[in-house]
Amino acid sequence: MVQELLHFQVSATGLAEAVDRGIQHFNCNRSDLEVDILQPPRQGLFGLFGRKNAVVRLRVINRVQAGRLILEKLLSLIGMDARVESSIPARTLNIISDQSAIIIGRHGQTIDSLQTVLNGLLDSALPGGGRLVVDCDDYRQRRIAALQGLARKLVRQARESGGTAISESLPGDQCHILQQLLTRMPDITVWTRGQGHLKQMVVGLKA
Amino acid sequence: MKELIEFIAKSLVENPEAISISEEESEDGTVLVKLAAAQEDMGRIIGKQGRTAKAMRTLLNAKATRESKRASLQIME
Repeated sequence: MVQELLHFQVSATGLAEAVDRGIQHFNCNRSDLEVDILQPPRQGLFGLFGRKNAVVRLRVINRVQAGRLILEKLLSLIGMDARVESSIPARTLNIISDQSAIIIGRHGQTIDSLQTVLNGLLDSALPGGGRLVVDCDDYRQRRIAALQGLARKLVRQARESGGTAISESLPGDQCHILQQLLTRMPDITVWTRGQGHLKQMVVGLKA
Repeated sequence: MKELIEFIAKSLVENPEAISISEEESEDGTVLVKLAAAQEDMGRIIGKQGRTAKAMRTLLNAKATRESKRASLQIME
């Protein structure tokens, strides 16, 4: 499970070699790992008798790198041919695949589900960190551009009719972006409608 | 199908040993995955406003589509 995915126990003649194997196994940096020495190496008598290898247990403690490993596992379990690139400063995991349309899914449902499950699994393994963003083929940026267009359309409809304009049902994070865009308009007021994870944004003119 | 749900569910809960998953195929070819967990872990499986359960269903459907099948996840309470 996730805990097993983020742990690796390795034996080598020296500590440095054992840690290097862990770095290769996880494809990350030394600073991303916590190293627990289970057995220090022993040279033995004349390098022969009583000689023992070092045994170390490594754990990925960097949230973004852990997220990359979990996301790769999820994609493999779904049967997607993809690899994941991590951006630690942006806290974003970018999926590289020629099956991006399937990974994104209808209205972004699949990529949003990957993000939801990934962050849930990450919280259970490494509690107390912020959420990671899962992206594929610049979907998040394209979605923001689409929301900017939707915001302009809703404002135009509300101004022209003098009443309200209602958006399609949107996931919570997209409602939040749309709300931020709309509240910049001095004559516009905005509120949400509906329950659950999908909500509609209602746009009206201030009295 | 089962492996995907098992990986997610066992990683989310406090009592992974209490997770039980079965898979059966109906006559119309739909794969029904049944998931049971300890009562105290149900909140983790379902998630806030049912978000985790919905996301698991979406990912299960994505996998089923890859295999040209239909799938459904039933969470046993």
